[in-house]
Amino acid sequence: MSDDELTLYPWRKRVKTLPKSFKNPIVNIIRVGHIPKLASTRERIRENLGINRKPPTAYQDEKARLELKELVKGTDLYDKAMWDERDE
Amino acid sequence: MKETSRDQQMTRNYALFLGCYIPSMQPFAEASLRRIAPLLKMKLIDMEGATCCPVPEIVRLVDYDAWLFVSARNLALAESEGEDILALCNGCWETLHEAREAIVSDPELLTEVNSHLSLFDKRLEGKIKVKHFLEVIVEDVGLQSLKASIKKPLSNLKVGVQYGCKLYKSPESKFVSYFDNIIETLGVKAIEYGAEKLCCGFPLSLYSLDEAMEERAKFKLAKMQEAKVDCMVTACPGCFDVLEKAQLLLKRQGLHYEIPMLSLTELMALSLGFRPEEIGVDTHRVKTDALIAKLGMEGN
Repeated sequence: MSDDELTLYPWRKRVKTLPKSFKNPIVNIIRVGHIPKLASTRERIRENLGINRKPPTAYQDEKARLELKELVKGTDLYDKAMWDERDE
Repeated sequence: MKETSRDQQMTRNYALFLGCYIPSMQPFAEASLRRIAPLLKMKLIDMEGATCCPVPEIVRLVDYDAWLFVSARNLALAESEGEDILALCNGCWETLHEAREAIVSDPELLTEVNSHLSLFDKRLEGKIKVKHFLEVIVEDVGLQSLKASIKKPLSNLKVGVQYGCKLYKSPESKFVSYFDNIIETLGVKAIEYGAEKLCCGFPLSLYSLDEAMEERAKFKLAKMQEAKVDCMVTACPGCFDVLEKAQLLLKRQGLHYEIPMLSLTELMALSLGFRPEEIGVDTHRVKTDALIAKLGMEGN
């Protein structure tokens, strides 16, 4: 959170210790590129609706996932969420 | 009703930013948008390799720089297509719009961001805009064009509108008015239920879903039930997700709301003549049978 934002929204606080519930969404963003993993049931629903089984995003683009991971490596986000995660 | 000079328009291109929840949890919102887009002269260009915007309620709070860098990468993807972003999700609009404003207004920050993006042969200049779906429909497509495309007026439908908090962050809350304008154009009756401005609880749900249901969703759902809406309509996948989960989980407390939910793109697709099963209205976790029956759209 920027200093400007803290002035604009005084009730917002910087997150110093990562809340437990934030860990999985962040790990998913870093690994999958998105918060929810794509369940096979949803893939089937997508296919039945006539759209790509996998969305045309990082869900089907390994290069994009690696880019995101590289981009956030060394930031607090990565360090706070990934310190006890195995590198995949 | 807002008129625009673009009502007699040609096809316009948009870089479609899907976000996380829509493609993975609510594909009916994506499918309905893809169905109606050609009818409204919108060409959607997929942003291949796009990631989470990233979600402001978590990533911006934990690490502002990481939030900026990931947003910048997504913005750069759209910029490489040379098209404005169409954000279908309130949260994605907030992140991409605010990150763009922060980066483009600060030359030093722009240089720093680009030094990170250059590692992946990407660059951001701030040439493109980030547009919310509501903004695109009202300002680019035009309400007259929308009205002219209606094939099945849904005038017997009473809806409770769930705007979502982020719409109030648009200049002078204009997106809230745009939502009303679209509902009015579709001929649907919006029922005042008295908790329109209350947050659905989505940001709180990322910390504790139980608290979000108790402190936010329960009250909102009860107000809609009292107002006897036929369904709830929202343009925010976060609101959709938490209010849907709340309806399913609060049954454990004996609370049965049974309020069918529609994303705005689904409501528009139904108005534009698509059948519920074509756009996935029948795949929702909260049953939509009664709604479909009310619309006289049962069976094939």
